[in-house]
Amino acid sequence: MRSLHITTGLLLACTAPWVSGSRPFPETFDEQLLVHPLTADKILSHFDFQVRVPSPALGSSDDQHYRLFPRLIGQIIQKYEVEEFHLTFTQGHWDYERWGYPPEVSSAPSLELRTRLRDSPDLEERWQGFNNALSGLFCASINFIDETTTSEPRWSFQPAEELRSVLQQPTTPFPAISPALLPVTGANGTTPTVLRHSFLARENVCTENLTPWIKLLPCQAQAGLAGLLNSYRLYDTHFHSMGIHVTSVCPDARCIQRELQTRQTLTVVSDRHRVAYQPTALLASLFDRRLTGACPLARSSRVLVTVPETGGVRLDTDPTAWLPATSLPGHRVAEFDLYHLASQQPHPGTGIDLALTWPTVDSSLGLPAPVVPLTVHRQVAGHGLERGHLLVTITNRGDQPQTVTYLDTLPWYLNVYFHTLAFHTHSLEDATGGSGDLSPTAPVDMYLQTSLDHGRPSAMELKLVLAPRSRTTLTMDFDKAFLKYTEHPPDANRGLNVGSAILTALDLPAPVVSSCTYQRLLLRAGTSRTTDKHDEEKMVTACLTRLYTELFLVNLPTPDFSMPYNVIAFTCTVLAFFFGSMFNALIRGYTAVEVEGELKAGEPEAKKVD
Amino acid sequence: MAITLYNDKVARRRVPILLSVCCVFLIGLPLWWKATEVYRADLPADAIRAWAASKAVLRYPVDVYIEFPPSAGQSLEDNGQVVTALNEALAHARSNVEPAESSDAVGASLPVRFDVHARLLNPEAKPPAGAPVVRIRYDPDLIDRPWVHIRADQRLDLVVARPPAAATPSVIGPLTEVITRLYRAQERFANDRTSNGERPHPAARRAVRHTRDYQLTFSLFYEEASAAARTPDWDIEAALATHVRPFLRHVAPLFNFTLDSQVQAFSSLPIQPARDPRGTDSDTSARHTLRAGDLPHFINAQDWNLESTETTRPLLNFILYVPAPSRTPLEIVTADGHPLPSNAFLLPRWGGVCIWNRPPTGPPTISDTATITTASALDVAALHQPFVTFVTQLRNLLGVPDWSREVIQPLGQVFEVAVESRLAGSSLTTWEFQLLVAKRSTENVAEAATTLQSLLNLVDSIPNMVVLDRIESKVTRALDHLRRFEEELDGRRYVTAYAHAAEALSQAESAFFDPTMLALLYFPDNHKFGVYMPLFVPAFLPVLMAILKEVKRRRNLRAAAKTKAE
Repeated sequence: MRSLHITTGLLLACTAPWVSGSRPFPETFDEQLLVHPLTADKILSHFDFQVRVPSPALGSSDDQHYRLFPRLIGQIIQKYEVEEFHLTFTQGHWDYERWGYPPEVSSAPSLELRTRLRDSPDLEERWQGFNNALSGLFCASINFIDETTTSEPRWSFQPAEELRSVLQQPTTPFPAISPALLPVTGANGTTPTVLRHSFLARENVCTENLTPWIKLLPCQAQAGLAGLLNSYRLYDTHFHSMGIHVTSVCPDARCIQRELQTRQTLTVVSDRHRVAYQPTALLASLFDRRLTGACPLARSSRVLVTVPETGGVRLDTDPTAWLPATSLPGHRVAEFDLYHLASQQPHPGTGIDLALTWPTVDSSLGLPAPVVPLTVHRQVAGHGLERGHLLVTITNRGDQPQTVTYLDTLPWYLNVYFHTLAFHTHSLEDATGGSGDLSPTAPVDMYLQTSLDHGRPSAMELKLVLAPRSRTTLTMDFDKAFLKYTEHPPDANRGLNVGSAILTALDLPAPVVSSCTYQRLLLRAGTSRTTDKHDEEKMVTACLTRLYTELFLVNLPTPDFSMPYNVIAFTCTVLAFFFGSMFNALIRGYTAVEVEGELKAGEPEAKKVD
Repeated sequence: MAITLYNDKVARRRVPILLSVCCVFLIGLPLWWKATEVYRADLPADAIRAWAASKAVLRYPVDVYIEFPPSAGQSLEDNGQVVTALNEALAHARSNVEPAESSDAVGASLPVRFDVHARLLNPEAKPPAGAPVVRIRYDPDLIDRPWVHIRADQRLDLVVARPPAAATPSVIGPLTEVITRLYRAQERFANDRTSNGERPHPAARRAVRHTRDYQLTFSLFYEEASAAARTPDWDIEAALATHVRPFLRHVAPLFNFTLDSQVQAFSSLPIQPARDPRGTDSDTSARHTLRAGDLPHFINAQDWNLESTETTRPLLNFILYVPAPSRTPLEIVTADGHPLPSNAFLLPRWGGVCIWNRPPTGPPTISDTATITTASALDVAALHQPFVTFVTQLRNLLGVPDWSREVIQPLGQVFEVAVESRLAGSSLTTWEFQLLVAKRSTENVAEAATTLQSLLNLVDSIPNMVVLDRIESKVTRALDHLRRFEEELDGRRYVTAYAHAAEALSQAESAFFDPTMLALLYFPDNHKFGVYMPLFVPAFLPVLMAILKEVKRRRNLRAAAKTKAE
């Protein structure tokens, strides 16, 4: 183990800013920022902070030593035996048609948590403990994640290699409800693990989540790219997605010693007009902060700027290097090494900035339109509070058939009728749409899980082969269930948010700019110095694109919340009235009274007597 | 008159109806009571009260073994007589001080008393592990006071000037004196008193709340990352293995520890240390000073990652702080301006901080450059001083007695005292360990007893609280452990007794802090009125009216009968 440390350390010593040191330093930290003009007025900024550490370097189970790896995260995953987790907080919806695919694979609206835990009898307890710990750490409502918001998908979140083999399996006959098809094994193939996927569809993301996220970084916000994270600017954007991904990865093909990796990503889509863009100060206009230099603890610290080949966007700062032309279709990618830039500064400490000029402020640029072969939308149809109708539209504009998985997790109060699941496929080529019906796409394989009342949600996972240039419509009916009096949220009449459905596809062919393209781009920049080619190869083979549908809001029958007391009061009154009448009838006698003297007209003849 | 005649039939019917309504109500009342009652398990209240009542002081029996020199030429019987006489003398000494002690103990939760019993150690036999041994040595040349030599193991040498041939009882006086003083001093410490008898002992204010499990976090904080980048690592594993683990092994029977460490760059101080130009030697270098008043604000709780996800065990932080080169050296100074040699301070019940100043990197003033390069990296040698400090701080935080202050000082009033040098080091001697066991066990027992009584008071004071069966079983288990604590103590198995005491406390606390131990909040009184009033008020108004009328009618009848008779 020690010798491995030394070899890794020697390898890193070439690039690491520290050259002296009594012991090799096995942990690495890399930070990158990608600035990418999406449309004429939208700019994408994507931060990627990555800490890698050989897992034995953290020490044994009751004796852990942290250097760059965040201690709180390390403690949590150690204590609750978590192998991998992905947590994303997102505000806003990614506009796939206009912006292409997002740079980060996981960018679900609102809060998404995916956890892979070691399977053992105390799994539930550990999972709850883990959620509570994360909740405390990130000041979010993660502790409200429970079985009602969680599913255990079979295919969608498999690692890319495994998903590829799953999708390329020969077509199986249509099973009604398939049992657990895949043996769910751990990442190292020995310990069985459980993958849980949860949505909190109604989580607002705010500074209070960002602050603890920044505190996990080795340099916090004191130096390096994290110094740009200005919450006033980050939340004043069209789209904001912040994530932390903790995984264990194989550093090489032999995979003798695994690495723990924490990747913290932040994706922001800013409006060029809103931030009052200044051509000479790209970073200052986007974030209103000055970049002082690299984080001294970082092995590499880079800014990547993409320059569209058409449209006249011009980069006025000389980059450290230009990445190969094929990196991003239709763009040239400039790489800025912050260590290099800081050393080139004429006046150290004045701040580093880049100059990126748009031709004119208002003209719509001839930017290359994004190639978006796959899109998915989900809507609720129907009226009234009793029944509903789910409508999912999956479009494949590409020339190739696409094998995808579709995962839809619906809460138990939407009582789904799986037998009403129907598929219609239209060809996109026929513009009139009348006669363009293709043979309906049937799912190659499916996994269905019915819901339990007041318990687990229903889950539907489909393996679909989408015909080229086609639109597949999937419909399904559901009933809306009654919630218990106490199950309603405080603002019950607003309705309940339902999380996204997820479409997962393997990497899309070349002209498409997908998450894989961005990942490869960041990785290529990162590995260009370290001669570590394996990572790149691995990324090239194993990469996937994930699409999230819109959230929807479902209106359930809402009671009048003062009703129980009204019922009590009403019932009591009826009972008391009944009892009083009966009692009076029993104890009072009604007899005819003979009145002496003359009888006046209109006077009652009978008189009540006691 | 005629009207009453008509009503006779109704009136006769009315009484049974009223009675049956009342009957239904009376039968319903216990049913309602039973149905709305909250479940309360039967706590062994009598056993708890009896246990507490039987304990005015907690007796902690200790056997002190007396070892006579083998060459003294005395028979075993003689020595036996000496020990018997010694026990009488000890009892006498104890009875002399007892009234004062017990009056002093007002306000203490449960005062501890060491019941010291002397035993004769056979020359061939080995004393039981951990038991204190007083070894008598004769020194004919001794003309001054008797002389006491405290060893690092369980032994204590008492050197007296008795010539071997003289009468035996002359040794009893110094023996009684040394044992009484030794255990009185320990008793004071166990009862949280200083040697002057003041309460509470300052050590008790420093020590962290006592549990079985602790989390120790060692943090290396750099004020500036440039410094961190130069020495990104510290040899924490080696430093822990050299300094901390030996100590932890000593206290392992009492505590469980989990250790972790972290390194953080960019840890700015929330306070600004005073800049103090060093006048004489060089004008460029200035030292930066922190005074005692600054130290409570030293920790930057907001920016330093000191939180833990651990919820159950207390967290003890040890911070090694490396100031920025521009602020080196940073020194903690006393009131008169002298730097503190350790350059460290303890935050009571929280942890310890040690400031490590990077040696100056300018032109080496020391001829040996190799020393400088090793010292600027945080290797084992550089970490030696801070970690010795951390172990001392850990001792304080765990409430390990400071043997020299607590015990040697009172002994020194009468005897010449010599201490084996290991006592002063970082490891733990048998004496200290035994005193720590005694203190922690008696604390646990006292606290468990208090907790159980508070639980009873709580249950009595809140009638609207569910007491589950598991509370009862926890209380029973706590009582059971208290009983077994005493059994083990009688058998002089102190560590096992400690385990029972700790378990008794944890059971009692888990019963007391059980989340279900709360008054029910679902049915406040106004809700009950809201539910019962609409039913009972309209229903019982006619009944009440009927009863009133019936009473009135009877009274009228009686009055009528009386007038008739007249």
